[in-house]
Amino acid sequence: MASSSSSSKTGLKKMLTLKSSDGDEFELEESIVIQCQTIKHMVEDGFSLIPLQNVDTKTLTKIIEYMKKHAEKTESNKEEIKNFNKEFVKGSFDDQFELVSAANYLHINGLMDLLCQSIADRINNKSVRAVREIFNISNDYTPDEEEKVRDEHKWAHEGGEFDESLD
Amino acid sequence: MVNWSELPYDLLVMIAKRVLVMEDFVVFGAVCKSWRSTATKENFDESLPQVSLLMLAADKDNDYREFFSLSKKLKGKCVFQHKNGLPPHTGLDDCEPGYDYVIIDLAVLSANPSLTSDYVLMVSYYGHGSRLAFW
Repeated sequence: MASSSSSSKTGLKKMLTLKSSDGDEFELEESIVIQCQTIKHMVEDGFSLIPLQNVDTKTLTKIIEYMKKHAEKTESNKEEIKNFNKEFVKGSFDDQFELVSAANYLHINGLMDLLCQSIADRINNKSVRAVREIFNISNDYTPDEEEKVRDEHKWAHEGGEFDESLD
Repeated sequence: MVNWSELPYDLLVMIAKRVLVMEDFVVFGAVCKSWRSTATKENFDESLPQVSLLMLAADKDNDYREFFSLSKKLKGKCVFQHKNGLPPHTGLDDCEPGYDYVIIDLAVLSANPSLTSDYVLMVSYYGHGSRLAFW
């Protein structure tokens, strides 16, 4: 954008304020925040105070941490970013749920990719029962429906020694 | 407590698309109704190489075959009953009384049997002249 490039030339960084659903305000450089498509569009519409009604302070703090780190991304620190990402997805499942929902709402594509991959990785090699327990999902099939679902791909559910552990 | 079955549909699709091993994809779809709605063929990358299931030799007394799932580190032993897929191995003998054997030139499946049980097997075989058989 013309305005942001001219302000960076003069050394003055354009600042934006993000407001969480709990009412906390975070002031950040525009260059960091525009990784988020939803906010980028609001900035283009002239907003500088951006209320995020669907994102609480705890989640927003994590998202800002992610955006700050990824704004530093260059050719030379790929390894560092990779390690950061690895640590970033180590939080509790409840936190990841809030994060992935917020990343979806804010359209931060990189963060959505990272979280969805981490969630998909947790399913690898698990049994249906183990996946339900890991994600705390209650079985909403009737016994008949479940029988039908299992019948469709019987080979994938029977006789195997699945990983029933919950890590 | 969050409810993972209530994730928005488009997010579930993004997750489903990242489950790349066929066996895991089937498990993903069996977890609950909302996850199942995204575990469709469209969201599974068929172009990715899958470790084939190893079919074991038939047991004469049974009309099912057993499979080993190599991608589950040789642990997964699977039973594939013919009512869900393979025709009974006596099928060809029944069509050709008096013949001890038939020569199969070509066998074609109408769909990838690892993704659906709804497919047709067509066999071009030679008994009394060339014939086609369908299951």
